Amino acid sequence: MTEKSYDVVIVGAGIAGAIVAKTLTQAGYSVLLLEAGLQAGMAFEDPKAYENYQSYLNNYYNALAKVPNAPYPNLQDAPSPNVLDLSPIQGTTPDTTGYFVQKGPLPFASDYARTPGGTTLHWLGTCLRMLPNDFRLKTVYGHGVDWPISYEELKPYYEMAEREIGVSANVEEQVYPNTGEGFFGEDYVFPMHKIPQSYLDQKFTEGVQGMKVGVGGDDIELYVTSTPQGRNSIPNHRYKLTGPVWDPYTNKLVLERSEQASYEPVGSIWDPYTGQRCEGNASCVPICPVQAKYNALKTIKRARRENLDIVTQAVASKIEVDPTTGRVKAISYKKYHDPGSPEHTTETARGTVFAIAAHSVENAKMLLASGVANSSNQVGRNLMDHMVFLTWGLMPERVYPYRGPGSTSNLPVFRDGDFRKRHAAFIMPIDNWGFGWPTGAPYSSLSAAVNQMNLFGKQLRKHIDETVSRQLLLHFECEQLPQSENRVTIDPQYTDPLGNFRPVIQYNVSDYTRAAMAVAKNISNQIFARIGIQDQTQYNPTDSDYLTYDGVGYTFWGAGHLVGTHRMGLTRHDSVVNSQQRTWDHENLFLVGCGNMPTIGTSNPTLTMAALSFWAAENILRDLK
Amino acid sequence: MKKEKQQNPSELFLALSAILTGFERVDLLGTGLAGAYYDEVVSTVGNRVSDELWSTIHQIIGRSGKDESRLETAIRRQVLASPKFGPIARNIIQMWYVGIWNELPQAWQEAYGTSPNDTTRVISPEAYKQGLIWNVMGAHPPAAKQPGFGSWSQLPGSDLI
Amino acid sequence: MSEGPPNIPEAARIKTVASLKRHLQTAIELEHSTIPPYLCALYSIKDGDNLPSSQIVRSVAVEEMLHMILAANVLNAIGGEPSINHPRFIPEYPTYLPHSDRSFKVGLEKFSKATVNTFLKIEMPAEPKSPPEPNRYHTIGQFYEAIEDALKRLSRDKDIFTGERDRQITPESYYGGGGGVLAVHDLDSALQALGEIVGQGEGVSRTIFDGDHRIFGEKVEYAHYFRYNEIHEGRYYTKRDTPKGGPTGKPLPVAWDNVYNMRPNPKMKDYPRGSERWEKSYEFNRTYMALLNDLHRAFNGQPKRLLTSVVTMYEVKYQAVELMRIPVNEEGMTAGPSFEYVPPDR
Repeated sequence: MTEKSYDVVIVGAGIAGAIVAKTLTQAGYSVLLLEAGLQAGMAFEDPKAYENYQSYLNNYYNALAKVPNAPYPNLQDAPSPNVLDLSPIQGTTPDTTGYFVQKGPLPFASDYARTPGGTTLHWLGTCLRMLPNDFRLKTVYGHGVDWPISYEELKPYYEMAEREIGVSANVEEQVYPNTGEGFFGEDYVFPMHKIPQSYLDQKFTEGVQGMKVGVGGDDIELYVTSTPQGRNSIPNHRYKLTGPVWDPYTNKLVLERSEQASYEPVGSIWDPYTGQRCEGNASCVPICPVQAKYNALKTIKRARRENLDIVTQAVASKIEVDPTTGRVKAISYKKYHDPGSPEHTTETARGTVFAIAAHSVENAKMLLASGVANSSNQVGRNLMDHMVFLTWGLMPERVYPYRGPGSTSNLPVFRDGDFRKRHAAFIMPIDNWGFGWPTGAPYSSLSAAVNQMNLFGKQLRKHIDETVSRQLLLHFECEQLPQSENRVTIDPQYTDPLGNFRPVIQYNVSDYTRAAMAVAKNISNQIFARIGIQDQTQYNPTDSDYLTYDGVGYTFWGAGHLVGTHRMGLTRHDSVVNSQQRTWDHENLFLVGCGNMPTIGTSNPTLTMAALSFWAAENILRDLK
Repeated sequence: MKKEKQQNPSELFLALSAILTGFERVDLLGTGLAGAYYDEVVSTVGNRVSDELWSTIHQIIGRSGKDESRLETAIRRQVLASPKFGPIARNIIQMWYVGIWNELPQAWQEAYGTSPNDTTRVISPEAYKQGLIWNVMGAHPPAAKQPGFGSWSQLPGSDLI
Repeated sequence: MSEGPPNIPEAARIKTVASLKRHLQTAIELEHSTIPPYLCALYSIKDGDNLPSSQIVRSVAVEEMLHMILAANVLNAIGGEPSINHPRFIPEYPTYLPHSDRSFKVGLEKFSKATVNTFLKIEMPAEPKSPPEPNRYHTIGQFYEAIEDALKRLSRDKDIFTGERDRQITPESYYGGGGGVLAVHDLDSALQALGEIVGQGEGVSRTIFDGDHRIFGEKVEYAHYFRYNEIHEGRYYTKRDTPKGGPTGKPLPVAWDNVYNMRPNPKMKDYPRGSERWEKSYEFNRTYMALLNDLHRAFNGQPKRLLTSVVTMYEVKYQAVELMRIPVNEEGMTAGPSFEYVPPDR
């Protein structure tokens, strides 16, 4: 391993790294993929792949708190953040309970998974494209920054991402504010038909039919649309795209169109017949038992394996730069044998081009630790998440939640508009899993019924049937602006057992977003009143991410979206990478992942990140030629 | 024959479970966990307390016969309201409903003893999967007993019409 | 598929389209008849144990379902109307298989060596001792030969494929393995559909045991007989093995004891009507009938209903396993799914 020099060395076997690895190996180049997680997780065939995944499932079944990282091993040598570690920050004392060192004032609420396949193992799978104005936030609304690229330029790569992930959606239903004609390519269809919308969605939609909400003096009509997602559904026989393939003559990565082509849903990695359709396990977060939901192992499996070397249990720690040329020479990594023991060997990975794809926080951490790529002083800064603002209540009649994927419909009405001059945009997914997220239902519902209401027997059954079946969770996913003081740093005081830095995070939420939460609660109140929903929303000052705005308290949760820590830009003074996703400071160092995104918009960032990863791969291919 | 059956502690446990959960005996047997849950109770609270519980149940059933409301009142007063039996009974409900054993309250442990078994935990993956609460909700335990593509668009059980 | 001209005496040939339709209806019932026994064996295997055996039995059961669909497609293609939910659709177990030599009965039993033995006999038709007579076949092989012959002969002079295209079950409505569903609209596709049925199930005749046919290897789907034989012998076939020699590959571990101890051939009348166990048993049969109703509707003009039937299929499984956990006697045996017809209203 130490002797061979690869065309490309990639750090991180999540979706970003997987897409780059697959694209490069299929074009004939040699790739070394370094992954911090366990070797057992990097299995692609029966029975190892199956057995390893069953072990994740068993962890899930045995977990008391079924949080996103519950199924996956938390490794001392490559720790992952866990939402269970969150607690309010007291004064100026950092909270060091978990992997993150939270300096606050608000604890950063999201997590990620350091394991083969990365966070796509526990993601929900929602796949929405960003909107054109998300790329021009500064010019259009006077807030945030503009991207150095436009939606139009990213469009072909979105199509590649939608094919790679396998997105199910009905394109004619994807109507978003201010996008006009031509948002999708002409005749574009998604690989699979939409995931059926839930019964709960239907009832909710009936309830808001024709409803207008008053927002800042305007009356805006609500409408509900199905949510595109990376989850297997019925293939669309009109989908005729294959690839993408690298054309070395035109220097382009392109999808090809063929009348003979047909899309086949990609099932589990251990057995292609399992997971060909979503089976309604209702556990997408944190684990899909049949892998009907996309995970990045499926992409790695499709790489050209003879060109790909994978080293697991390898934590990349230092990027080594040649001081005279500024080019990256190598990446040194710590290889551990037993994740519970700090013993390790230090190895070196050499290549022509290097791509860091370890997720935005880990990327930033590694750059800071190595002292590279930071002439702009932006590395680690501009950390963004979506504020998940939740309201919940009992519908007038049973809607049977806890069924199906986490969300099958959303209201896109507030994803863009003039109001963005005053407050953040937000998307409104309708959540299918009852009060689970904010309250721990149905366990909490049962506990209350038994311990406080003193119910038992048939009365208890009746009560559960009549109340839990009516639980509705409404979700407002609010945009956050890039802010310099929201950042990841390192501090020699805080290291993990391998001696690598732990991320030290300073974080807060600005009024721009807090104002949106107030607007959201107002809208929620109007909707609840109209449908006749019994509001049971409660925010407590003891919640980890409790904040106030205009004298009113709100709680938010993390969406699992970590964005912005090494953003792209037009100049080397205010960004870390250029529009090619190449660092300004080091010619052969590319950064891949959500860290490249200058703004977060109102869509789950994975699809955008996957699109960007294809583009980055294309840029790397051009370099290698 | 029936009388002898009811003196058997596991039978009494099953009878108590049926009253506490509101499910029929066959429903409980159908989970395959009656034995495991019985063992859980006895090994955690100890033989002395559990024997007292069974004999209390035996008496209650004997006296109430088929009178359901009398049965329920007796269970409420003598079991659920009892400092000794109440927490156990509430745990039995939660075992059947969600497969979780809840550590007994501090006060109980001080009065009746502790056991290394007595920790709040999911009893086993099978216990999780056989939780009855999901049946009541017209759903299924997440990540188990998957109902099939498209099922979430319909009313539960609508395919059975 | 059969080689050479069919061995069907003139008198035994299917002469009319009406008769062909009746034969295809019988084919559907035939493919269905082994499903309840296979499912009982499958569901009796405790969750998580015996994965290879469970995968094998499941794959065979799924293929029988595929065969039902293919037979229904052929029947629909020639203008027929499959009937899935009539009172005699489900055989009364234990039963002789239709068009067999009646040398053994098939029942509803838990997974065991004896059960797997029975499955081997099902999948290995006996050598026909005599040619078929009108409407009477001595082996399943003869039965399908007659159908094939009729399709070819009757379509020579006129177009018998008059069925509406949108009654066909297409791959869109089906998922999860078992090979391809194919829509049938002409002789070629009809023969292909039959070939799929015969190949997967009946791809075994005595002749394959002579000589050194090499038919195994990775990514090859073996006929059902050989899959069951792997369980029976506790070994996988390698590509160097022959049917005569048996499997000599890696061991296939089978934990014969890790099964629910289902009492054989359960019936609703095992319990007093209205008792708890009777109710559970009845509920199962209602669910099974709902499945047959879904299939009936799917095969009669609503092909998309096949997707709904998947949901019902899962219900069938969960209720079957639930029954298998309920004790019925002092010897530690349990209840089980009885797969009995129940009429729509109580």
